[in-house]
Amino acid sequence: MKETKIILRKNADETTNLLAVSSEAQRIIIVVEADDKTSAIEKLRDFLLSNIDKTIVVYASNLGGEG
Amino acid sequence: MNFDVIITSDRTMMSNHHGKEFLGFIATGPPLGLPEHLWMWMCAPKPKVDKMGRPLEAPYGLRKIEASLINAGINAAVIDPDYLNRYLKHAKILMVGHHDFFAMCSPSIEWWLITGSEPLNSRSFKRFMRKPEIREAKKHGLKIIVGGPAAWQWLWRTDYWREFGVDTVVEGEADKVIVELANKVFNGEDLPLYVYVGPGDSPSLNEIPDIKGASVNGLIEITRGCPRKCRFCSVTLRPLRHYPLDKIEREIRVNVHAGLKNCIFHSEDVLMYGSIGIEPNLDLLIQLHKLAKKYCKIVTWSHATLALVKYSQEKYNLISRLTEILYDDNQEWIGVEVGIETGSSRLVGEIMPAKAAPYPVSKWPEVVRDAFAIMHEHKIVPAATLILGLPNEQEEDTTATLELLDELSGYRSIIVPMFFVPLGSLKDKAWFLRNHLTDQHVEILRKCLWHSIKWAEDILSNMYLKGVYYAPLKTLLKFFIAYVKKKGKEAEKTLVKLRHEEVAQPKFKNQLLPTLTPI
Repeated sequence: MKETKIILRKNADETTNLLAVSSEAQRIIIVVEADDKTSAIEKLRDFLLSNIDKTIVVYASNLGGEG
Repeated sequence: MNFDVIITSDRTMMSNHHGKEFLGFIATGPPLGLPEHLWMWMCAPKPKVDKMGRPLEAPYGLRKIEASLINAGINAAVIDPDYLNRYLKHAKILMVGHHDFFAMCSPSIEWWLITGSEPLNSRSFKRFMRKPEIREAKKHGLKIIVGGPAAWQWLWRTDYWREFGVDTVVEGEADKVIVELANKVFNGEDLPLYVYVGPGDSPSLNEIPDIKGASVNGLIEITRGCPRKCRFCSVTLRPLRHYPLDKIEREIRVNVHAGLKNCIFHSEDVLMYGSIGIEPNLDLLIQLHKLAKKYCKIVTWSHATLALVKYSQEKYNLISRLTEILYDDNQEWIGVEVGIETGSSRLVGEIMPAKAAPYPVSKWPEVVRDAFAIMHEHKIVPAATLILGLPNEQEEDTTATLELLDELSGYRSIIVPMFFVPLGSLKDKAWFLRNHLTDQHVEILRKCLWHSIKWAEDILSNMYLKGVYYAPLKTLLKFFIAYVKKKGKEAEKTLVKLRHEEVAQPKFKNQLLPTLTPI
């Protein structure tokens, strides 16, 4: 199974490109730089809601304060 | 004794619903007309527990998680929510599963939107998550992992994700991934925020563990997944797997060993069990029913499809043959959930093209009517769903649904109209909310209300809750139906007013959030 890892920088608006980048992969690991955990999810919400067929694992990194 | 992993849920889930699975659905409604504690008693009484606070019966999904962890050598147990205090000081992980955390599934959301009052399930879940012992343990490093069929709701409710300190949300089949997550905690590694288990990572039959403790009302899976591919459904995204009979027998024996006398086959379509394509497997279905009846007094079905009810009876006389196996001095009827969804062949073709198979979609209304007639004749009582506001629904579609409802009026059934909730491959579509209701939708709601009241009285008088043990509950339910009837005309007026009323619905990213006032 093809796996892809994507890192989303804090100030980048890359989520719209996620599907295109990951179109071949069946398993995607996304690391999101965000101020807190739920902001990381909110940043990805549209992408996560649109996915039905890929395994997705989301991590947060460089959390500002919350950890 | 301590456990490293505690698996639990709130009271609306952790209950055997008086041994009547259908009563559990009362938790989808708001507590109107009666005090909330009476509603809770009606739908979710406390279960029997052992001296350690482990429930005799627990939700099947939680039992699967428990079994996966135990098989991996992890010290885990399902614990009743009233007994968490004993364990949370030492536990490392709290795992919480639910069918409808925030009342965003139908019909909960529909009752909430219509009445403006938050349903029991959501109230109960929030109370549970705010328990002082959970909050205290969280401060001391407890990890909280949530999952189950309603895991998607957390994507919409990041406010509660934040408030409750949830570490990880798991969406999809968790049998395998839950062990990886637990080991991450034990090894001091970072937990992911969110895991969606895609169809490619669905566990194989060998990777699905047998339950180790009894399930609520003896419910056991016989299949996972569904081949009909209805676009509004998330289950249909997963591959279809049929449990072999020996696996089913092992799980029945777990339940019987715990003292349960009933069995509910869980499948998206019980008649699909063992099938090759859409063709029913007669021998296997008969073996399955005889096997369960050997152990259990009452054997029922969770779901069936109307197409296979009609097809299997007309071609093989199968419904007659199966009910002959099941019906005896202990059992004289079956309740089952079925999906009508719409009376419109056009919408069936667009959104659920395989729903009528092996019949063409053009015959859908006929399939529904004939299946209802067969079930009525065989004392199978369907709790049927309709979906209002499917994407691209037109007036001609709701007209077709109204015509179909007229044809079903003589058949014993409960028909529940539900507002469209974006799930499955339609999960990026818009929610259907009460300001979207047309006059025809209101008429559908009205017809369903009176149809269901009429047949609920019949079912309650002649079939349901027999015996002295159920007398208080039956009295309360009769009182409630009488209350609804008395208020019926008033309710009709409310229905008419519904779509004209202004309702506070916060906007979020071009979508209307389905939640109103949280408690």
